[in-house]
Amino acid sequence: MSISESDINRVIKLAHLSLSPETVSRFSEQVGSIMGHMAVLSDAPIADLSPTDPNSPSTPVQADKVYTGFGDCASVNPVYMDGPYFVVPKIAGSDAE
Amino acid sequence: MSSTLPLSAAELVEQFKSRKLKVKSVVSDIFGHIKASEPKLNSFTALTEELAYQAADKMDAAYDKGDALPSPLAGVPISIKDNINIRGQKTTCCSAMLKDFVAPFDATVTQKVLAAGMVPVGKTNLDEFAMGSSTETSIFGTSRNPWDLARVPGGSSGGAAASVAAHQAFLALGSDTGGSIRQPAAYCGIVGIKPTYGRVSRFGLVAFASSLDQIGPLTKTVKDAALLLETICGHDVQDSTSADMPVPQFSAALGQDIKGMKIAIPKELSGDAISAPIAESLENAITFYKSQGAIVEWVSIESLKYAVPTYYIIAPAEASANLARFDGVRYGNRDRSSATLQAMIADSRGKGFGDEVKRRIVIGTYVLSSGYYDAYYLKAQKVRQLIKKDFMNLFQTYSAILMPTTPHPAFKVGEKINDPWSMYLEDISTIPANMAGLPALSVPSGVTNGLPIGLQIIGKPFDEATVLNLGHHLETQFNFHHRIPTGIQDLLK
Repeated sequence: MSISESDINRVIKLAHLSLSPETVSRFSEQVGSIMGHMAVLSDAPIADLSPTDPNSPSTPVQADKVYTGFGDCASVNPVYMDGPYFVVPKIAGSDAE
Repeated sequence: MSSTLPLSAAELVEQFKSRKLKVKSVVSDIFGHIKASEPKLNSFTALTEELAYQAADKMDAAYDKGDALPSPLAGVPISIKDNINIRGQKTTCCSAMLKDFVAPFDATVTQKVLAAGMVPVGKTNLDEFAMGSSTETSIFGTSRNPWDLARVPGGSSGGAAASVAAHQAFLALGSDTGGSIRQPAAYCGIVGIKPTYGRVSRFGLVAFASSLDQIGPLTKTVKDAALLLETICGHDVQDSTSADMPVPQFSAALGQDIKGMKIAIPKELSGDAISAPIAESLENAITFYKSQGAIVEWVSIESLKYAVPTYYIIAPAEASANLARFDGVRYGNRDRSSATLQAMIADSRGKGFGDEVKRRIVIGTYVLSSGYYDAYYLKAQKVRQLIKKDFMNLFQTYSAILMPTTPHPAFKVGEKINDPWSMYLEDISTIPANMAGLPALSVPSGVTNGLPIGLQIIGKPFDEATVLNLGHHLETQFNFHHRIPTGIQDLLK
């Protein structure tokens, strides 16, 4: 797979990066080669899979709900709601400060 | 040089308790050894002598008086990776971008190790912003493997691993996004554990890929790893991804009977996929676990072949977003020669970041850009769920998964630096645990041609206790931690 130098120039503009013409040329070759290895993902059986954890809520949590049905890992902390807003723990000025 | 430096942290604390050793004298020995060995190893980016001696005096007073100790690791010297904040010290991430940045606050893990009475001896070298597998992308130069100074210590926590292996510190804190604790631990012949995602607060760790990063211990023994993990775990309101889960006493699980425990070995990371000495080490471990009454079976995890490509879409995508803040305005050194604001930002980033970081920002921006998002990023997120599902299905039957930490022992400095994909494949065995958010331990499992090799044990979410217990059993077979690496034997006899 190849990625043109104009593609790299478009991307570095998006990323606010200045690169020398030599680096653009080298990255064009290297990034193209790296992206070529991603082609294997086309064979993955993912048709029925969600891009996010299936244990996470598929619709935004609404007011007056406390969602506690998260699965493992980082999602075990319940999300608390105050009306239509998420409750964000106070950090500045709290006892923990 | 003192013969006490090769002790484990737990052994050292026994010496403190009996007052055969003073914390201050050990700290003095440590700094003497660091200064003698750094020209060879380059493990550290900065030393924290003032902090260390203050902590040492405090702990000596507590031991002398017989006061209640703040933790089972009170007085033990520890090194901290230079992407984790210590207030008042530089956090450089080994990047020109942050070479002058002084941390205004302690990371939560730093607060915890200081409160536990540990003695911080310095900040350790890493690949720039933790992006690499060798420390070769650090602005401070490459750290060296204490077992062979011509080879890399691994990365990105290469300085941390080298510091523990070379007995410059008894413990180290590293971070692991795709294997950055476990791969250097394997290369340097020490123990390293990446906890379950959410187990340890990431507050004060400079973010690389926020859905993958975890802080964890690098130590000489599994017991030391268990003790340090107990200290740094726990919910933190300052990290919304930290889990509000009970923290077990991991050290109490060590030595428990493993009879009847079911262990899976993925055939995709065996045979021709790994070097012969590592395959032999894996076979030896299987034989050992069977001799202990465990049930060891070969399984297939077909999605493992997707792990590296998936990781190298998701991690750069997250990195490109996380590193956007380093623009010479909010964070990072500013290029003052530019004529306009836009040019200043682009030039500050162009000059401040090294090649590997810029390459990953380019990849991450590319896969998130219009027209490519669905083909790359969205697909990779789905494959990540596939990998996670395959692991969770296996854990319906098995308690743990055993596999090599790396496909081969440490490689030579310069061998892979010009071939990015070859370097990325270094993480082939370690990336899957990050993708699925699982706890994973690397433990020394043998030596080949003078170089250590490691095996990896992956467990269910939040089941670090089983992982550590299995590692502790395996460790007894090799009893590695008192060995003096060949590269520094002239300094430490």
